[in-house]
Amino acid sequence: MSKVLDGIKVEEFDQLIAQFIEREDPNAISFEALDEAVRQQLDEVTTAHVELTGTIRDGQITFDPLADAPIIVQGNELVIGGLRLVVNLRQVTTA
Amino acid sequence: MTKTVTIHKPDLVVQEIKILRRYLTESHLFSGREWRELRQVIDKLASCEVQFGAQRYRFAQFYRAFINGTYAYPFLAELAELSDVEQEGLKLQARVARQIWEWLHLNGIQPGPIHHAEYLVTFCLYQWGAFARGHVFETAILRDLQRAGVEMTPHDPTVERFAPYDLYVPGLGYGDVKTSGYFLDDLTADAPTADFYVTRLYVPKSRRYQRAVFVTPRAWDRLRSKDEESQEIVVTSLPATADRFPQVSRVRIEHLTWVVVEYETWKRILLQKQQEGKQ
Repeated sequence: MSKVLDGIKVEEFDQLIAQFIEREDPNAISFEALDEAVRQQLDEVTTAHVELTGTIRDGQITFDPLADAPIIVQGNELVIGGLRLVVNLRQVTTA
Repeated sequence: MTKTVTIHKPDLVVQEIKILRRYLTESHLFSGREWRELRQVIDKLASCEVQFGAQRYRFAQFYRAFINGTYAYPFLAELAELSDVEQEGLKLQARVARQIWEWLHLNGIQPGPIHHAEYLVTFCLYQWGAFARGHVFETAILRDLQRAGVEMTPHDPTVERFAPYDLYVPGLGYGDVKTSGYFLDDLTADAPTADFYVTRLYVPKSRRYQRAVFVTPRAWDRLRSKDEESQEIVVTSLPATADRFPQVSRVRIEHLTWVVVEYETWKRILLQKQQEGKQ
């Protein structure tokens, strides 16, 4: 007898689909679930690890291009979301 | 004549298949983690492939070509004619879902005889449910606002299905009516695309659905008045906002801030603001 999904009979699957179609509730997420999902999503964003590398020549930093990261890199500039960071270095003068 | 159908096995682990199955029966009990997992499963299914006759489609392409392309506009046209959109609209979406299931069956997408067909059936009915229920809710909200006399410019889904916003409200800004789990992306975006989102969330304690409006702090500054009804309290979780309705809440979660207003309260404040503007 053929099984579908995680091992249920085809007849059972058909019944699940029939019940799913007939359900007239709005199928909305709960306040609690949305709250949890928001926190998880924010947590993932804030814990994402991106390693930046670059070179320094004549006191000017140039970042290496990044692939698959939510950051745009251009020379000494980083664009993260709506924020543009411009990194300027200065030489330390020792007495 | 039935076309030859071959469906490639989706790359899902047991836990993901279980989520898909639970979605069919009890999604209202889903935790936040489960909603996010479901979204990932649906995204995975979207890129699965089906050979349908001589053509190969990704599930998402198949849905667009045969389901959305056939059923969406007639549904929207019929929805626009209904008098009680919320009640009759959900019945209409169920009737069309039955037609879609029949069509899939007639065209050889048969779970059992065709391996992995259950995934395409579930994917199509998930997409249809999200689309149809979303439009039922949107139509109900737009009609309610019009009936209440709110000055606004709604978009017409039968003319422009993919408009960036659902409505424009002078003095407040652009708004979207949201019901799907993808609302999460709007809520957590660094720069939300709309000024406010009208949505509906489930309240497990009272087992009911609650309409709520999420307003950006900047848009709320344009809307709020000195009246008691506009006074906010600061809370740190979304369930706390629902517990305090009709009190307006400014919810802060990490760096994120939203003003959450019970729908009827929001409508009253909005109407009052628009009437003051005319005087």
